[in-house]
Amino acid sequence: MMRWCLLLIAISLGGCNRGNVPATPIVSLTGELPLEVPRIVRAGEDLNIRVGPFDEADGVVIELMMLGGLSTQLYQATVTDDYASFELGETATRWSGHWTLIAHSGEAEGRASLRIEPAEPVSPMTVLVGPRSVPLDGESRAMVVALPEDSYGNPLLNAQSGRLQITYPDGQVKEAILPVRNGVGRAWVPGGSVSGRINLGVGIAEAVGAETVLEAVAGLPNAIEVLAEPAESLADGSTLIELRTQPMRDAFGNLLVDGSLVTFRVEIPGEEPRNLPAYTLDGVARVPLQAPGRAAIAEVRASVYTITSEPIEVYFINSVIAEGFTLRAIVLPEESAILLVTSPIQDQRGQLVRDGTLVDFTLRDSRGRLQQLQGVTTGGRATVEIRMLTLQVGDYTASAVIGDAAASTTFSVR
Amino acid sequence: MSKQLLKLILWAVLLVIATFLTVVILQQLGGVIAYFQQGADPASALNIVPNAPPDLHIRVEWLEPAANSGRVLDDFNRQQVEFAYLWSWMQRNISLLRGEAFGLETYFAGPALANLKADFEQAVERGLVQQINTAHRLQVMTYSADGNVLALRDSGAEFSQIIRDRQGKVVFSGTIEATYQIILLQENGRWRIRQMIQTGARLKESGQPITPANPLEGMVRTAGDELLLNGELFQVAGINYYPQASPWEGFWSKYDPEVTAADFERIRALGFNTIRIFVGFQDFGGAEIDLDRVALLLNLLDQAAAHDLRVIVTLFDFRTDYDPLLWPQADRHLEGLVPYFTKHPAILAWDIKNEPDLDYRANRPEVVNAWLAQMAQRLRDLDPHHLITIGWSSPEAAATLPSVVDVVSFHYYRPAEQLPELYAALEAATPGQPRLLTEYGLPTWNSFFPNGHTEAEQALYTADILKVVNQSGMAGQMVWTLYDFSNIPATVAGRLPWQSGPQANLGILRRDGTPKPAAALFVPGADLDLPPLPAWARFTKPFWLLVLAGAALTLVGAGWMVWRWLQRRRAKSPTQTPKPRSEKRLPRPPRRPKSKR
Repeated sequence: MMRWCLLLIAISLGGCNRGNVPATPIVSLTGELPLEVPRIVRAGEDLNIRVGPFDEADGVVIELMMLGGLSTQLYQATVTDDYASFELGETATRWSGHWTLIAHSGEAEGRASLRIEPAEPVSPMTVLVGPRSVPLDGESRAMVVALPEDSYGNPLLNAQSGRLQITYPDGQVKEAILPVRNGVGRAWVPGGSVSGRINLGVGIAEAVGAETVLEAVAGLPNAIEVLAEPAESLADGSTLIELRTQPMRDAFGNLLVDGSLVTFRVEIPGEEPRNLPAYTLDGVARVPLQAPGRAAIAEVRASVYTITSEPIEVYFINSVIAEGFTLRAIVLPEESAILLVTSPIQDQRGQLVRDGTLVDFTLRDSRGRLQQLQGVTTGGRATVEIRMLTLQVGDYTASAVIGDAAASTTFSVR
Repeated sequence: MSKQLLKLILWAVLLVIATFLTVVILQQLGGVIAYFQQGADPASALNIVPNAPPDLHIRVEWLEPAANSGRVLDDFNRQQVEFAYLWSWMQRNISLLRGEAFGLETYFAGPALANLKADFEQAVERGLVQQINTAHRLQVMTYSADGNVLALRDSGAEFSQIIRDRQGKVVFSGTIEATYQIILLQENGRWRIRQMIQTGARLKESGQPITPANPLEGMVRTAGDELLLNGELFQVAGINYYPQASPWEGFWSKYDPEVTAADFERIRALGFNTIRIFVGFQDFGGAEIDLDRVALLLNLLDQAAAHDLRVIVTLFDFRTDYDPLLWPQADRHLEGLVPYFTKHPAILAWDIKNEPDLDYRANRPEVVNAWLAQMAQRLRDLDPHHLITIGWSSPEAAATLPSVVDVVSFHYYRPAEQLPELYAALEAATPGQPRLLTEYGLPTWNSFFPNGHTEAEQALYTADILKVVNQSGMAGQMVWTLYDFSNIPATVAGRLPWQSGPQANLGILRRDGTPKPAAALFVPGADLDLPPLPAWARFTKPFWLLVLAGAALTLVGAGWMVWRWLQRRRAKSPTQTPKPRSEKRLPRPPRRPKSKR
């Protein structure tokens, strides 16, 4: 037992001792270290670098630095048979570009440079197109951009030109050259003359990019024509008429793309102009227009971007051709007011006019001064209330007008 | 010794120990309270890299876009791209510092990110790289019509690297000027680098010679190991200058042109032809130069020129952090300051840094040296006319980086008799270069603390140094300093009296402006053979007098105690009878119980 223990101790001590032997260089190198480095290698290829020859320098450790790109790599090799050999795999050569190699040992140093060229481009290439849609105005175009990269992700900075295949919506196919500069292949894609999807295919050497789609949309419409249906309507403040455009087409006859914004501008004398937005569907934009409360001629225009239509006129005629009615002035002492009340107003069919119909009231004093008021009908009667405080002592003539019918009454304030 | 006296001594010792412990406890307690009042250290709390600058201060130049580059890069996007590009570098620098891919996803995408991450996994194993980029020259090569793909070329990427192996040994330290092709993609409104390929590089190792200076007419130039001015030998007789009332940190904040004029008059009258001054890095605005301070420096230089004085301007004073992440700030400092003075005749030389070798312990020597080499190159690029030096703290240190300076300069505060040998070694290490002793001196702080010196000793020391300078062929000397100072900032020498005392008393003029004997030695032709001081003179210093008095008191006390002991012994001896050996020892009396109080 004792012998075994002693043996084990002896072995372990021997092992420790071997491990502690310092790996001191046999000689110290000075001067320039000769490097044998290929000038160019392909990304991913094995890279064999030899430093030497040295005379009787076996055992000397040589350090090799590779500086380049975003990377700094350090390697070590020992001189064996007069050379230090660095057999570097694809890990060392996966990053293309210019590399500086520095070999070091003691005071000795050697430098060399190496170019790692990217390998062949691989599919699928990144292909981008922008803008994503192009209006068919004869001028606009989109740019297709391809980023050719090899299997290690290295860009092909100045690769051979690629091919660009453009398939237009009408089936027409065009080929174009895709020059690659600074790692970016790019080419312009004209919109053509037919709206729809343009399919783009890009290829550089054996690599292709995923098919990319570009939307060709109609350009600005040639002309806009506005219609009103019906073209004449009652001025009852509630009837809706439809304003619409004729189908709008660009210079090549393409319908304006769905969803294009069209603005109808309605101008009625005595009212604020109205801007009514609408969006196109099948080249037509539609918008309802509410009739005004009194007779008027409205002027309507439609515009898309910078194109504006010629104006059209829409007629709103009086809605009430009333039978005769009367007007009374009633004093409300509690409210200190005078109420002007019409008798029930009937239209030509003998029916009470619709609630909310506008009635214009006019109050004239003995000096001829006018006061304009407006009332709406409820249950056929229109009323307005006049505060006594706003009236001066004297005689007044009140009148109410609706459509072609009118009524009046007089009262005095004392 | 009586029991009473023993008690007293014990109490005194206990009192001293208790006082000492109280002071230590209070100090520690104060430290703990201060720690909790400071709040968390952002670097540790947020897991960020210390010293990462909030502003990068990296020089970026945009060239005209290449022909047929596509869409015009508008100002807004140019700023966004520049920001993303510079921070991508900084994030990589920080990752290198940490030895791991850190926050790279923010600035890199696609293959660049994948390769970087793969590289970091290896770099941690293989070595350590410290890196800082300092300049870029960008050009738009291609910009896609939709504004989302941008190809850039950086034809002037300049960065410094320090690469160590696994054992920590520096295997490369230097500057790299490289060209990169970069492809950036805008994703989610943020520009990211998808590709970054180095297409060319030029390495410049630290310590490589800088271009020789090309002095203009009327400037000091080098000729071998000598300095020439207007074709004649210029022997520097100089002094390090601070105003008496506002030395160090107060120099520029309290700068007074009238005081400067009077001091320069005095300096000239004392026989000096050169002064050495200090430009604080923060004092002058750091990376963004304070133009008011520039005006003050210009005033000083103009006054020096008017008094026919040359000036060595020491830069980066009080800047002790050499972290590579902060190097661009130093670049911007030089770019903001130096161009104003490239043709000023009063400047003899730019001193890059005062005693940088003393910063080796806090910063690694290779980092400090790499920074110095880079600054020398920057200085030469910015000012091809004036000489460059580094104010090393000793002749031994001055043998470092001789190729990046025009003039080798060093400081010396050791015994004068050792200087010739040390200088000879420096001379051998820096052949063909002028060598300048830019600081030396002896404090006349003669107190109860040791190492005090008298004014006579200062004069002798100065004369000895001057003799060595004259005999060795040195290009000149600059004594430290003009005045004794009343207030020394604690950051300069420390708070304790034995630290600040000597520093405050190195002047050749006393606080009241009267000259010390050494002041008379700088006049041309002054007699340097001063009579040696008698050997006993050193014992007239307060310290030695205190030592002698202490020794005398000790002797007297010891003699008195011996005498007392002898007296007692003599008084007891006649009555005592020797004990018979066989006599049994008496039992010990029982111990008296302690009385309870």
